[in-house]
Amino acid sequence: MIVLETDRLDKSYGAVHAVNQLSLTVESGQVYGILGPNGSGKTTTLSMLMGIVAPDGGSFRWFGEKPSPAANIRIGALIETPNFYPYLSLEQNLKVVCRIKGIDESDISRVLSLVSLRERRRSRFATLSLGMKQRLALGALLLGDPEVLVLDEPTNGLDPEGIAEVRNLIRQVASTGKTILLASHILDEVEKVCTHVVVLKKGNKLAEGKVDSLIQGRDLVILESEEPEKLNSSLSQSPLVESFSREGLEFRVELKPDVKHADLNRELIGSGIVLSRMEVRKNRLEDQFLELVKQSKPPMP
Amino acid sequence: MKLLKIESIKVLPYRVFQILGILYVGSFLISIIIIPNIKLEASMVDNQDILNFKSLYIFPEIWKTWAYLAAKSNIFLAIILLFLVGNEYSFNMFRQQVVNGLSRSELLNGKLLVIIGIALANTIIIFIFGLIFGFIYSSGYSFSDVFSNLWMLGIYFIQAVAHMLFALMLAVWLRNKTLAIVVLIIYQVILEPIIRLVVKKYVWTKLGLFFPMRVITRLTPLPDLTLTEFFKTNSDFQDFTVSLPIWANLLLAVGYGTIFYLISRQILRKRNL
Repeated sequence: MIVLETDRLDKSYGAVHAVNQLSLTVESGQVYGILGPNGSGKTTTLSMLMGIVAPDGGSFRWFGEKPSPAANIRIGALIETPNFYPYLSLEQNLKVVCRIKGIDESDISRVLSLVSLRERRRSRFATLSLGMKQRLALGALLLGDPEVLVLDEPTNGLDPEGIAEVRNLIRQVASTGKTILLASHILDEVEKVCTHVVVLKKGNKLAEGKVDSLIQGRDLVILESEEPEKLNSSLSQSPLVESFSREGLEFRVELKPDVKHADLNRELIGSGIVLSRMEVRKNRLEDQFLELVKQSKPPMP
Repeated sequence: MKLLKIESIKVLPYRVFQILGILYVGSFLISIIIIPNIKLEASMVDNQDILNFKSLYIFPEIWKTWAYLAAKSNIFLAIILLFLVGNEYSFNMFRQQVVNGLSRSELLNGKLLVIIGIALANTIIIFIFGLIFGFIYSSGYSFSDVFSNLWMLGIYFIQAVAHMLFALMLAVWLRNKTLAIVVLIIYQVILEPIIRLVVKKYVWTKLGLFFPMRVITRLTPLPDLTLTEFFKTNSDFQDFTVSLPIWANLLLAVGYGTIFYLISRQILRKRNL
């Protein structure tokens, strides 16, 4: 089932083209990451999807229907910072959310325990630490057990322990089959939590797909031999090799899917080539991401 | 009902609301306790009796007096509203509530309920204290005396609502409570009176009577007393007494209130939160 579909969403703030013709599809049960550096249009995109910023062009549908407050009620969303009334207690703040969403107030104690804030339920929101505020926001969006979660930089400003806690919470929720839309500039976070990802830069979609195939990618094998020409011809004929490039003595080889570097080694030995170097470079998400972002750099004037 | 409950959770525990509310009711109570004990020594009037304010506290005159006096401090109510709406912006809560599933018109209607609630609560307070003081100061009243001018409280209610709708519009437009409070006070106390003076002099003497703050603040007329006669005959004070007929003022106030509401609605619908 398609949970969210956007069709050429577009938004500019003055001269800044924040989101450019963005189309994406999120299906039920996916943990969908929106990955991009700061200023790439992630928050703007989520703000449009939650109805607080009007798109200049394009459209989107939640649950196959036109956007409406009724759709938002089915979604638990945290956009940018946790927003609550500072002078109200945690309990009072959550009561407001319950009333808006039509949720029974008995759910409040459940989510407060879930984010370990039960003892603080009568404290005013203003007295919480940043990490606690973030946790309360997560608790608030879990009220009423919504079908879809929308999270914008949920680990922003948290200490390592808090980050781990939040990620665990997200994974835990995801394992119950909920659909999650997660915006982040942290590659590691997307890699650890998401099943699908779209990479944004300056409002443009650079790549989209499954995290496994898109980000984790294939390993790069770097080879050197004292007989480079022989290696060259052998690699160009090998059925195991997807592609390769040569820089001086160094050969960078991308293998076909499911091919291990040991297979390549065996083949090369079979053709009588002795390698002076064989290095497997795990294709780190970070390299890929930087590569993706670099490729899209506009040419220098 | 949903909106009423949401607003009451948010508004009632708010310290500034409590303090300004107490100040408003308190200043009103103090003024009505002090006024009957004032004895003016004015040399310019011959008949000292007309300066005896006790006559203002007798049924049915009391409803006019009190509506008039209460309306004098309506700017407090407008400021309370600026705080409440300004908070929604400064705490990013208009935004958050839309994210949570409230529509933009529900945001505004929630505030409309707050306005009506505050105006209604004040009207009831005035009614209760009016009854108490009326019974203390009046003698020889009939049942119809007690209730005959009660419609003045209805006018007070509309006046308070219109004044707060003006504040609502400022708050939604400016999105910043400090700025909105400054603009409200400057407009109401300085800017509009100056504009009124100018148009009175150069355009049309009566045009000044149609300005929103003039309409809203003078909806409850000066109590009908011998004192009023004094003002009317003394040209220095004529600005106090010249006004449109009550029904015209009332119609204009309702019209202005509606316009303020519609403008707020339009701004809220169009803008990013």
